[in-house]
Amino acid sequence: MTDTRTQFVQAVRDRVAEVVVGQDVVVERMMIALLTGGHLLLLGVPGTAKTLLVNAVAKAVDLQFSRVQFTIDMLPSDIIGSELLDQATGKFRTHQGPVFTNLLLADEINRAAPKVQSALLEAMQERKVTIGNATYPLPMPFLVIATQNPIEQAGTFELPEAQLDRFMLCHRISYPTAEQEEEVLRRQLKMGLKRVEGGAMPKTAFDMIGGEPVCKLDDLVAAMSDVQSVHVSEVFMKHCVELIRLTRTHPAIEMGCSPRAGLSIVQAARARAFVNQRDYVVPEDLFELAEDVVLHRIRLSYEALADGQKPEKVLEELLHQLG
Amino acid sequence: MRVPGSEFIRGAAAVLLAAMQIAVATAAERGPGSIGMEKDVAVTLDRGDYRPKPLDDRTPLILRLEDVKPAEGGSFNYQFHYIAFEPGRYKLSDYLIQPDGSPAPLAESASIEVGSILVDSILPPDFNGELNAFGARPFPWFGGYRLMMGGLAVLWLCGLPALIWLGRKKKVAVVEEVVAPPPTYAERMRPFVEAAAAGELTTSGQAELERLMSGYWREKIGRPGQRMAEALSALKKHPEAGSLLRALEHWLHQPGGASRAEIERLLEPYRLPAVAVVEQEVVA
Repeated sequence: MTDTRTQFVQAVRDRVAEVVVGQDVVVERMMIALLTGGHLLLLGVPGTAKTLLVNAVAKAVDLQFSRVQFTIDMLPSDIIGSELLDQATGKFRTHQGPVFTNLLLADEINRAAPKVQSALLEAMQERKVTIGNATYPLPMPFLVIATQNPIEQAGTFELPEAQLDRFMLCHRISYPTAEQEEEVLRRQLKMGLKRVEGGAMPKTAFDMIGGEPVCKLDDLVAAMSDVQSVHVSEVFMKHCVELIRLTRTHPAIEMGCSPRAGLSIVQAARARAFVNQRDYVVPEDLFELAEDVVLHRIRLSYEALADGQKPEKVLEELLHQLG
Repeated sequence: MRVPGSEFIRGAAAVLLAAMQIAVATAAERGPGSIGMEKDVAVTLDRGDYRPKPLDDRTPLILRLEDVKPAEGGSFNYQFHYIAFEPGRYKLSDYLIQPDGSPAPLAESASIEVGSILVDSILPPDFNGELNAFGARPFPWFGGYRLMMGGLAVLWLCGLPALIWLGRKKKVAVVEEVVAPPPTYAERMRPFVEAAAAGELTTSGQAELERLMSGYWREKIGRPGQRMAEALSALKKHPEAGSLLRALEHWLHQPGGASRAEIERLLEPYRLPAVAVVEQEVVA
């Protein structure tokens, strides 16, 4: 793998690191989603820089970016758009919603009603949207990064398994380390004030996102093309299939992974290999990505849950069986 | 529509009906009493100091002395109030006593007669008031009721110790089962290593060999409870395991793979009997 190709990845990482402390794994997962066109669901408690990360990546790569804060009173037309009556001409014109973008941040996706979630997830799957009688293709690349707060469940609508399956990766964001938190505080102290038209406000990390994009859409497309040429061995595919099949036979698992999970592992492993400057995938890619690809696609049985088993532990058990 | 004089007729009928009821009641008081019906009776006796005998709750007649008045000729008029539970003739001598508690010496004729409330014509003349005939029969089993109850009691008393005895923990004979230990990673690897050395290892076999190699080294130098991804990363940093895993990756995953000589060199330490040597080195 040539360094010139992977420079793109390092440049984005460096730019994000200027704004966000740590979270290297999340940035890697976002790069994987960007390079494969797969959608990413970020699970994390409030204040773990989910929205900031997505903003920073979108600005680092020259992509159209939209952000939608999901609420319970949203309608599907708020996402995909609608037909409006133009009073000047007396004709209907199409208003395209925020889904017509390259990178869509769906913040707190579980706060929207199921019909809104369904409209978005349909767009994610088919990469086209129908408004009125006309069907419009979505821009390419089209990527949804959705966030979800795993602890606050009041007034939310949990995504069903069939819709979770549409997300290639579901990454659980953890708290930063003590050193990283100290660095966050240090950076905040240095930010100073933002002055606008005589007024002033303390700057936030969002104000620090700026500057020219470090790479263009062409660079991303070229990198995506390189990812497609990453070699996947027959042995690696055997490992993937074995893992997926193990999820279907484990006694603690009521619902195992779909074949889409296998496709996601292979695609994500290719992108991870590219990010790590390899032109072939290795078992390490499988083990690193298994949690993000598999966990949101399995459901433990009632007996296993009553027995106090956790999906993470069951998956580790499967991985140990595998390797 | 009102008929003239109808109110007079109605009133006369009511007076006549009331007079008939009084006549019937007087006749009933004069005649014999009926079971379950309270009744007064007047009897003339020779002395005036008789008292009612104390009764128990099984008496067929409850007799209460209401009043005693002197009568002509030195006799006394006794006014009794009674209720009977069985039909028949009751002698007053059975229900009265003298002041010293001795039975009253009264004639047979001094008695109270109580009849049945049932209609005489539908009952046999000798009906004694029993609705169902009852005759004692011997108990049909085990020589009698008492014997059977005694037997059951003995059985019950013996049953408890029997249950305790049967329910005691039995001593389990300890039989040492010889369980063959599960095959080690090294033993499981050998057929795949030999097949690889012979150039006959299939893709499935290659995948299995890689898993076993990884498991073999993880068992040797990995920490218990370590996440799989972390364990693999730690193995790659180990001087011996790391070089092996990288060589495996080169052979199995890199485009072009490894030459036959490289494969043989890689697998040499794991072929018979070299595995034992490798195990000893790792333990040391």
